[in-house]
Amino acid sequence: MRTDTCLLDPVPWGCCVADENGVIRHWNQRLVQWTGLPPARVLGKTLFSLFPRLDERRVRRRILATAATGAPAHFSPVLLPQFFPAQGAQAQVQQATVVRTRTEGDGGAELLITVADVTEYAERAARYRSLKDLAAAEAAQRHMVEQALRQSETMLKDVLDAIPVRVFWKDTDSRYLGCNDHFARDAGLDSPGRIVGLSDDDLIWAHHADRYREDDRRVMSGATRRVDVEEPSQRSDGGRWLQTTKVPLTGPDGAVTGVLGCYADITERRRAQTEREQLIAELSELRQRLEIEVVTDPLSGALNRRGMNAELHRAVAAFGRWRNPFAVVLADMDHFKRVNDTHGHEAGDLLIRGVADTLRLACRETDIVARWGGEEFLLLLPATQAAGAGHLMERLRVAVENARWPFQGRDLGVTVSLGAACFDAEDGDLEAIIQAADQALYEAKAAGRNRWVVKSPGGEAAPAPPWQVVDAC
Amino acid sequence: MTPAPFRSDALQALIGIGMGHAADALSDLAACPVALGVPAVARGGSGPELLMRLGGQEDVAVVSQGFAGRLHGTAMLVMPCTGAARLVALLLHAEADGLDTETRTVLTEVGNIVLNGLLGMTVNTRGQHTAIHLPAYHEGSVRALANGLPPDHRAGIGVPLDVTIGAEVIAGQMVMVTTPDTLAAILADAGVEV
Repeated sequence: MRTDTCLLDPVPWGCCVADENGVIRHWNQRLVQWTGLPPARVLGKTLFSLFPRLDERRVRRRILATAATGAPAHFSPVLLPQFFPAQGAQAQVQQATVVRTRTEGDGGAELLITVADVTEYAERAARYRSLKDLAAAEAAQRHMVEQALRQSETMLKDVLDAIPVRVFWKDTDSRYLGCNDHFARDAGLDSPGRIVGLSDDDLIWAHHADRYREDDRRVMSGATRRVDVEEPSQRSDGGRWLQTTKVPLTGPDGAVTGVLGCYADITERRRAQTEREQLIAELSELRQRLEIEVVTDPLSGALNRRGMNAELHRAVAAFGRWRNPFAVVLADMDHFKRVNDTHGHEAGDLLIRGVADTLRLACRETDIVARWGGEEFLLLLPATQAAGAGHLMERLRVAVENARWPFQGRDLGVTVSLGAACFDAEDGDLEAIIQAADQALYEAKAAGRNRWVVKSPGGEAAPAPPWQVVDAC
Repeated sequence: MTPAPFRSDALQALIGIGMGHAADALSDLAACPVALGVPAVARGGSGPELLMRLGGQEDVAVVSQGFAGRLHGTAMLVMPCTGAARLVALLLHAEADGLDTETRTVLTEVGNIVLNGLLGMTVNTRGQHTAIHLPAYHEGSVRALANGLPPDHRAGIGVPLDVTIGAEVIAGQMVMVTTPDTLAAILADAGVEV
């Protein structure tokens, strides 16, 4: 059936009918409109001579193949944008098909070429592709940002969960927005997500909720930039101690959006601190004990010679500053060697301890007693002059004479001889006064023992005052 | 039912000639050498079975051309969508970016060229009057494609197709689904022993 070409004029497609060699037999109005070529210029001419693009091998052979085999050919606008060159804005992009129609009678074949204007379609596709590319780029960028954010969040969570610190954050109403694993466990929750929306009233430390809210309020109001509290743990975990720190959370505009808190388990730190304090106290006590032992005679419990020397130098210094006179008394146990020889050293030690105690008890509170060596004692009598020293020595002598110390079923007793000298002059010499006291002691011994003598540093020839020979008994 | 190979390779040789013509056309189109390889030809029990042989969960791109007359049926070029997009990209010397409007029109033209090569050597021999329809394009699952076939298309031919462009090979499948009578006629025309 020959193509009824009159039907092809009103259709909205470009339609061309050609014979099997490509000679154009019909050229419809749409093609006239698009190409600007009237039928008179194209009819009877071949497609390939009129349109060089169709003469290209890749197009020509397919058109002719259609003519030869009847297999239709489809031409994509991407590979061949204009099958027939168009003028103006219309049909800039064309999609063409070539089919064979066989004529009746002469048995020849005709080619029906149909061209659709897909310009708008192509433009829409291009816009769509552009938008798609843009969306894809945005999606890729968003994906990257989200991935970076996820990585950042994951890293932050890992860090928060790895550090040995409990971390939480709340909104301005003191409601929890989040926390790390450690904090959730302390709060008795099985995961950090469970804390969102809760307040301290809902947690195991509800009885402290008011105080915690007040801390939050102070931090968020700017009354304080930071709150540090040390307190016992609220969990029954063996008296652990926690240190809580709170600081305000701020948004990009600087406005306070909540409070960030963290607390650390400081139990070990506090334990170490307590142990350190105890150690310091023990060391201090040990030092004091050592200081005492250094200046104490272990047998009698009185000061030793080193301790007494320090006291004597202090007394001399005090005299230089305040003119406080003092007296020095040397007391020696009479016939002590006889005690040792008769009753043994154990008895001798007993008497030394006993005499030391008796002297301490008999002298005044401010007086100082030292074991000066062997059975000899030295007493420092502050603010005491010769008369006072004499009175005190008599009291000491009587106290010792009257004292008894039980030993192996017997009561032992002993007497002491005493010699004293006074220090009451600026040019006084400590060594001289002790020698004077020793001289006085010697005189007391020589006079028959169990008596006392006050002596000046220069002996009886010494001027009086400052050095006086007061008495001898 | 598993498709059985033909005892004769005459049909494969005929299809190979058709693919040679199609490859020439594609080479002209792409301005680079394109080879179409047909490693085997298989006959299935039914059109749906041939299609289901393609398997896979991925959607496929399909260019189909019906034919009518003494012989009637449908020839299809079926490729996974990713492979189809890659094929177009290679032909256009561009980066593959999925299937879109432009890609589909190019794929339609490629399918038209390939299927013309297939039909020219099978249903359009000996000058018999068989009308070949214009190509149509669609996408979807293999199952949906199989379910859309006419119920009387119970026979067919499956032809694997390797499209080689440069160093890359894109695998596809040509499937012709038809009635048993048409298949028998096609095979008889091709001189294939059945």
